[in-house]
Amino acid sequence: MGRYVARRVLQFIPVILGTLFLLHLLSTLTIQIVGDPVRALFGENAPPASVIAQMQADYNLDDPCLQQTGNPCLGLFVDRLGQYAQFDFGVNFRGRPITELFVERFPVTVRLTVIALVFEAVVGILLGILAGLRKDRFADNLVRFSTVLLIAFPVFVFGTLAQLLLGLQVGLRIRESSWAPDWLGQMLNVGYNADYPWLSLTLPGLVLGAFSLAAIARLTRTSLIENLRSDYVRTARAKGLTTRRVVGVHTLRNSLIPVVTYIGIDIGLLLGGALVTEGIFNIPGVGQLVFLAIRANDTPVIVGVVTLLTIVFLVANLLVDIFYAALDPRIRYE
Amino acid sequence: MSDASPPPAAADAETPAPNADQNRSLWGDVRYQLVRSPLFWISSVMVLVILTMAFVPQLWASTPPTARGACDLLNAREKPSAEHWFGYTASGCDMWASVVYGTGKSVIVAILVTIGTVLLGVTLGTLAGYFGGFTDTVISRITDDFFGLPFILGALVFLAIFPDRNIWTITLVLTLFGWTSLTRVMRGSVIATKQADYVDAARAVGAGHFFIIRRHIISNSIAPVVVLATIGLGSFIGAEATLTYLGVGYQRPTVSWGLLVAEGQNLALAGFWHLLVIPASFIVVTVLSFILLGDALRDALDPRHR
Amino acid sequence: MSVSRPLRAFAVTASLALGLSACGGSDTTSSGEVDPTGAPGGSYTAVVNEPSYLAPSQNCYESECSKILDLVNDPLVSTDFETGELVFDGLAESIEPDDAQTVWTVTLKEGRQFHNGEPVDTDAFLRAWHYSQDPKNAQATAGFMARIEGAGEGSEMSGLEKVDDRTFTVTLDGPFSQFGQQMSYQPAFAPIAEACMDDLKACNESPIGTGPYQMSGEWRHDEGITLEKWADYAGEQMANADTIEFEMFTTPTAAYRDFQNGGVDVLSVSPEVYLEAKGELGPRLQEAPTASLTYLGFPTGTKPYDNEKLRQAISMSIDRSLIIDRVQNGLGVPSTDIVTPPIPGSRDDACEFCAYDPERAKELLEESGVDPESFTLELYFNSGSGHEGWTEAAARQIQSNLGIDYKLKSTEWAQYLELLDAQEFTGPFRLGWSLDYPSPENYLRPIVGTNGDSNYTGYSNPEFDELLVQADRADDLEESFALYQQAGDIALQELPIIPMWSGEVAVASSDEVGDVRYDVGEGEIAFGEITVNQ
Repeated sequence: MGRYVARRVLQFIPVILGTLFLLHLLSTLTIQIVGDPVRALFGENAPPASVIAQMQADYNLDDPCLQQTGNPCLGLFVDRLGQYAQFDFGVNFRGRPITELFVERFPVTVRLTVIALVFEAVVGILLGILAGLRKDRFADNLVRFSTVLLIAFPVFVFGTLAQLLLGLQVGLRIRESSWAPDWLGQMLNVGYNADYPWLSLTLPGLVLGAFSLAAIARLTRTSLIENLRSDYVRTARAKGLTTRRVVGVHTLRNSLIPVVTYIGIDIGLLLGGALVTEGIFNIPGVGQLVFLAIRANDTPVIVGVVTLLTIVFLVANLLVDIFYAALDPRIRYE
Repeated sequence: MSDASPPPAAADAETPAPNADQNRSLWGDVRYQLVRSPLFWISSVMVLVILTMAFVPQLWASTPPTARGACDLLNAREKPSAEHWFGYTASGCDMWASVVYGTGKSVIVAILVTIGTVLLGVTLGTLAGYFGGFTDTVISRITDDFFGLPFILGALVFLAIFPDRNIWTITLVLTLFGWTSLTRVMRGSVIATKQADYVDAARAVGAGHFFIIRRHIISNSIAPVVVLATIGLGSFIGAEATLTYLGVGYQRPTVSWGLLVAEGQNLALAGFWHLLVIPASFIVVTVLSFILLGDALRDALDPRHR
Repeated sequence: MSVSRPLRAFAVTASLALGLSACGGSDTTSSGEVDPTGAPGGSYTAVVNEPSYLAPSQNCYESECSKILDLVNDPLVSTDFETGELVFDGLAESIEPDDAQTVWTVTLKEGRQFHNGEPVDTDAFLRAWHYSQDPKNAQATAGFMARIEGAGEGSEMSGLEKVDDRTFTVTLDGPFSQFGQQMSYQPAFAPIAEACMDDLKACNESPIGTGPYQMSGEWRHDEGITLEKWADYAGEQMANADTIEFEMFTTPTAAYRDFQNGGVDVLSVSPEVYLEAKGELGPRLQEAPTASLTYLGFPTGTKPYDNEKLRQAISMSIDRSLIIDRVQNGLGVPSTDIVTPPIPGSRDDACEFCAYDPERAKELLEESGVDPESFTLELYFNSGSGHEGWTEAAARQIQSNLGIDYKLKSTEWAQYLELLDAQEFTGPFRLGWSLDYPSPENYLRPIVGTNGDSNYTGYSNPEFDELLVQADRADDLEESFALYQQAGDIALQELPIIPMWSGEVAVASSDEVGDVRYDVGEGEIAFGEITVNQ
């Protein structure tokens, strides 16, 4: 196990360099093809050319290679790596350091992601087990159909509907009533409330986790059904073990392997999905930061934040891999 | 929990006894399974209907909404009526015609992307999981590299490179940024499968890698991939809507389901519910059909089912 | 994307014209929105997006920072929207041009101070204007200084001269009768306190202004800004509420949801939720015209758009009213001029070819000699900003009325601007214009004038330019308006751009507040006038 961890950490270095390079390539190509972000700041009415030139110099966007489409700008990449090594991820177009913006907002996104993950994992797995054990019966069909609804609606539609129906129609009544406890109203809020850093993220967390919940429920169901047919389960049953023990000890752990893999992948997907959810629910997290930056064409923020997120994500991935090895003893990573 | 009937027994009941069909091939088994499943029939008919809408929309609606004079702004947002069961879109086109002609752009892309990601994911995931070692390291780390990239940034750049957005460019982008999850899941699944006794047994009798992968590994590990792929089919229809929202998806006046949903959302809240409900229902029914078909196929493909 | 640049000019309807003081009572507004419960004091919540910069205000060239700075700073001077005349309700006592409209003398009022007690004197202005024009400082509004002699060449410009502590002269590089109106764009011409200049970074977090409100605490980035009444204010701008909480939201829809939830009290409702709000709010939602213009430009050097008759035919084949009604949900006023209705000197019958007349359009197309089957009309717009719907509707109308097939082309904003700057469009393109100062000149010269800052059509007509120059030199406003209108007639005949509509805004207010009014001059809700029901 120790050797595995060490090897995995070592491999981490080329991965992160590779990803950073791909990111650099994408952002460089964006500037080369889509156009100068500084110019876009000003809209229809161009300011004097000297003003633009000065700003381009301030943001390191005046390198001539940025004019040559297809040029990977390796020099800029090396400069960038040097800055990253000193934890300098640049400043936004308003002069604020991106690390500062990120650190301010990351905890909010982490809370949101944790709520979504816990929700999707707990409810998803439970629904999956329920459906798997009662294959082709009512409960199974209900789970299968309702998860399809979650999958089929684009998240922006689903989020808006949840915000309007649960957050406003139901939630506002609860918040204004005299009988309901405070926490209940906050759990169904239309937006983020800094006084309730966890509770007010409940509804957006559920929205964020909804798609993955469907995926996890279906994965668990399928996996469970497969494993219930396998030889070792028959053996266990033949030995006279109870269903509870068969499912709980022998089947579930094996069935959860693809589910754990998916949850690991999902951490990354959730961070991406947070972009839309945080936009709808006005949550001051990293997703909102990127959302606003895309709208404002603030390229330094997009690149800086995405880089930081990527690093976080790759670390999370590493941890999941290690956890994975611990979970399934059959997997020999020698 | 104790009353949970043992599914293996139920499954066995509807399958012929093992060893009774020695001379039927894998695909023969699959066929035998499928023709006996009502779910398979219902979902295949639905999928067939959707596919004909996608490829020959003329069968279902005579005038495409892009035809000259097909839409009149005066009719915009009109609610369903006896003549026009589905009402009109926000741009004054017949909703039914718009949905039918939008099927192609949404569903064909989703299918192509699903095929693309499954092919890539299964191939790479199997190679990485089965051979392990150096192969695994290289494939897994490349997967990590791509996985970290944000879909939106990538999509913006790629679609800016191809100013003419059509089914192929959108498929390319979605595939390029979508294959990684399936690869990872497949790899995990293959790693678990290759420890099984029958694989050791096959190896012991001198079966080649290619034979083992083909005969045992893929069919035994593909279940989670099939689940995720069918789910992915639904999410790719939504992803197309997101691209359009960002301005790098289809260009109007092309119609697609994603476009219709995005356009209908705000107006729905102002009381024009049909603008959202109708295209969304088509997405739901489509996703449901493909998922049910996927379930039926998976059941048939599962060797333990026999 | 809010790239609209509002102007700082004061409407005649506001307090000053009626001779009221800043602390005036509830009888202050003349907009017909008088609320008997309205009295000074209290606190309410409004909406702002993250501003670009708050200090130096010269770096503010968008709607959100000017929303805050209009309350934190007094204007130098304002423009009356009915007559176009200057109104001295700000820091200047008088602004006088010489006969040649070239040397302008600015005299400041006595005894005005910054929030920190520094005097508002000539040095404060010179400090600010010299700083702003210096290209090294890359200030967003540097362009406003461009007419001043020696601007953009170094750290100081030669056109600014101190006479005494309250008087200075501005020498322009040529005659320009609208310079007074131009100076009513408040952020560009505001003074800077010495303490602010010494530490611009700190000042940006908590600007030192001259206006009726000051910031309470620091700028909470991406969260909000709190303004409180400045006790020692000696100026003439209104400040009714004691505190204004500006909150920031990711999307306009999120802001409206917070309003529904009882948080926000006043906001401009975005087009996406306008219909929904209209159904819910009734009289608590009011519509008001804005001075922004939406138009389609033609690449006038590209075939077949070099054909004047074709441009006229296209313009007449678009049913502006129907598009406004069905696509824009009724927000907007069909154009009758390039200059929008709220601007002095605008006309409601100037544009012959803006009327919807498919028959006439077909005739014009025939006269043009262009074969409608011979080309595909490529219509450009920037994506993701809500222009998809109406550009498509317009293209459809052109197609069904003229038989010209179309293709819609959208690009991201940055790419769109590059195409604009390079004038690489191969068909009509959508653009909007928000003015800097309320003068017809501010529409005609930048959009249609030869090499105008926002002239992306390649259009150039010496006769038109000459009329503008004559108008710039005119002795009084009446004469200059007549000349600007003559120039406008040329543009509306040759149609390098076709005006589509001028904007309308919908303001929602909760029952906690009264005296809510949209100030077309500010291009913003008149926040200072709002009273809180107690």
